[in-house]
Amino acid sequence: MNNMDKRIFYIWLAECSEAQSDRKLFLMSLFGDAEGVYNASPSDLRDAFAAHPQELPEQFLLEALLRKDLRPAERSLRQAEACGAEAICLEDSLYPPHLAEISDPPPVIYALGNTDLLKEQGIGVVGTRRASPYGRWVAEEIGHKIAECGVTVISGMAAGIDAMAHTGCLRAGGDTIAVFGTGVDICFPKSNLKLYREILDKGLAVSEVRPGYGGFAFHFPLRNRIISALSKSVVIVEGAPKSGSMITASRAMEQNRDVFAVPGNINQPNSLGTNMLIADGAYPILRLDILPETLRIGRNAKALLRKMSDAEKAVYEIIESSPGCSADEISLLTERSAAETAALLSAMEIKGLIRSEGSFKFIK
Amino acid sequence: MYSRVLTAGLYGLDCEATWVEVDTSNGLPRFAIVGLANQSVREASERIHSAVVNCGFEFPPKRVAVNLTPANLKKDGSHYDLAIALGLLLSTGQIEDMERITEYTAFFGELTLDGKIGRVEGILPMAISLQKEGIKQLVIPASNLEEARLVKGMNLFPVSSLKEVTDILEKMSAAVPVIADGKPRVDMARSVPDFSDIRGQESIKRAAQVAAAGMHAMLMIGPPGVGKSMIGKRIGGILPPMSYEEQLEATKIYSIAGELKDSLPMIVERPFRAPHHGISASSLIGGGTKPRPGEISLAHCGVLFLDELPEFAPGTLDTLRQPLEDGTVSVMRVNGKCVFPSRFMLVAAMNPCRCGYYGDPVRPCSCSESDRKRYVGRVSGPLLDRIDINVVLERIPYEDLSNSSAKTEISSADLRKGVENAFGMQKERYKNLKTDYNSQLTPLQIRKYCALDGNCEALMREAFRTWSLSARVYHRILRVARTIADTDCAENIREEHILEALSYRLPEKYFE
Repeated sequence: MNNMDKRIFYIWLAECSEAQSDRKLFLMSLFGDAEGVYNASPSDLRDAFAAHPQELPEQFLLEALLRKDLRPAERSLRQAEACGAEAICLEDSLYPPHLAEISDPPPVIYALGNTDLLKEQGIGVVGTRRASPYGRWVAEEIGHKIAECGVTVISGMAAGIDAMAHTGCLRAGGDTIAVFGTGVDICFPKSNLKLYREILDKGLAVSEVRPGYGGFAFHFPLRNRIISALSKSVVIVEGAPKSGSMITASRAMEQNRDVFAVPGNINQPNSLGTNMLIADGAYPILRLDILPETLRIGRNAKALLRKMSDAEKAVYEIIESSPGCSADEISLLTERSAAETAALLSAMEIKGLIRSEGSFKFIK
Repeated sequence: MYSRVLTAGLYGLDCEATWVEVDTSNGLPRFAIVGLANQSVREASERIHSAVVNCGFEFPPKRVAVNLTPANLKKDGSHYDLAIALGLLLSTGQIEDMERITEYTAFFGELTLDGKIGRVEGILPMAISLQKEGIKQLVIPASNLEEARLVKGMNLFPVSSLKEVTDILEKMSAAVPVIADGKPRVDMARSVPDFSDIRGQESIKRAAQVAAAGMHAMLMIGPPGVGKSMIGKRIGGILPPMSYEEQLEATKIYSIAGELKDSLPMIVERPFRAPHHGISASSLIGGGTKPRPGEISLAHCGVLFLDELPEFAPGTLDTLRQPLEDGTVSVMRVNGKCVFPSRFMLVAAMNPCRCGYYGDPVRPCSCSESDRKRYVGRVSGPLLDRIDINVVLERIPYEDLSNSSAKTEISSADLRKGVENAFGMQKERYKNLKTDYNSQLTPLQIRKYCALDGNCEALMREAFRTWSLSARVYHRILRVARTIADTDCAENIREEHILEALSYRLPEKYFE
């Protein structure tokens, strides 16, 4: 059987009732893979449910499995193709290994945009939708600084903190992944339409629900586990004690990810959650200027070079091989006019690739 | 008997037609000059006495009253001599003005004791304002002819002695005037050094081009001997030629300052002024009891080069702020206020510290931190705020200097092309405005003429975030970006223009 058909079974399994993904992972471990679950006889399935009441308590899941109806799955796949999204199932090579390793990985994810971004773990930046001006500023700065290191910023594209984290990252020309609670072809909230388009254009949108699906409120906390799973560390910028952000923090801890929190004003209800996280042992973000060191991310030179134009790459390599060279030397070596070189160097400095000390240029 | 003769008086750059009235009456012999005449005018009596007698006329033993009208303006200068002497001769009936020539001809000249007529200052501005008042005929010292020739359409009678003047008066019809054509006769082509003399340094040459294109103030920071002065001296050479109006205006200033010579009767090339750093504030911006234009006005339409900027007295430098903004300088004196034009391009050069090697990768700097701060601190922040183009120069390795590679150096002619493009664009854009150059744009005008599209806006935001720039810098960057776009003949500012403009921002490292 070819791959195309295999994906159908994963989608089918994912869409079999609203039961949690860990149940489905357990089923797959019993029957080999999603196809095995589909091909299992009704009696085998009933036996499995009877034998593992702890792992498989939901009878409605069993009923859904027994119906063995592939039509909704076929429709989902068609819809994915129609909007240009890729359906990536658990056994695909594109499926991020760090997502697969958690206790409840989604059997299938839909990805729309630059799927290369799934290869490396990023940094999650999340927080409340009712963000304070301070929180919005911090989120944007953090997004920007992470992007400058060539590391992917992962968030949920909700209003407030999430949106600012994406914005800061995109402004630095960085890579960003937005994990949706709705289908990847739906912009939610609508107010983020501009950001949504930019993410599809330059980054990646990911969701475990099928394209065209508006989602329910409970899908939004669920997608938080994907945000933390795709991340090496998660930064909580602002959030109340009982909020989606705190769910992300606790899922991150379960998944063995580092949790960082931005200290906030103690008069602010939305800072209480993050301050409590710090009290409970999360790493506080104390200074923005040493953020990369705090988050323990180095400069991802490969990702940075990938982002550069050919002209920038050439200049970068010249400066790398002779630190402290001057603009004149660079224009001589690249055979570009002084004006073009000046513009190029300014742009690279803004992107955080190089820095200048007077007329001497260095790699940042 | 009463007589009157036309001449003119100079008040700053403004001139006013002035009548010399002479009345001779019986009484105790005396010679009095009234009408707010100062020392140099009152001393005319002695010169006139001798000159009149030595030319074969008689100095009458009578009561002679000379009045300079309008009498409420202070008179200064020696050019009244000729008009007073003529008035005296007319009122005593020694000569006759049959054709009433003195009614429509203005007379200028300083008399020597033997009756010769010598050069006077300020002929050009006086001739220009008399022409505006409808006077078409001037009698001037022969040595001022080349200067007066610039006023198109004037009938000029160059004279070198009192006798010649009386001859003209008696037989006007026989005298042939020189008709001014607005063109000087003397070959004044100076050889301005060329940018091709400078090896490499292309980024600095480009910065100089941009600065010249918008008449932006420029600051060069670098160790001794990297060619800061060489560049400063060459910038004037890449500005487009002066227009006739500009030449006239600059020559007027030089005329008042008494800086015109026989070999330099007119300012036809952009002035280059490089005052020493010991200069006083009033020599720099203008002053004196009789207000004289300062170096900044003498640099009008040209380049004012201040080498070793921190060596200038801080107070002196700060006087530059207002003229840099306004393009004019007001000199307040007891006699009133004088306004001189001063639209110059400031080019300044400085070492990064007293020893000059701060920031040098090889040679150690021997200055302490506090020494260095004191040194650069002499240049005030508000002055730096008015400098749009900042560049850092570095020492050139010996091999580069001696290496005569095949690569041709960028010459002044190459650079002038971009500057001329920008001048054309600016002239078109600001044709109905008082603004001439991008460097003069006000924040309100910047909003209008330096509009940015979405991408450029985003770029500016990013740049401000990256370098924590101030709002003041915002306007500077946009002005320079506008100029860079103009050198490309681009209607709209594009991202590359902003990026290049950003590279000319102040290198904070040297000033903190």
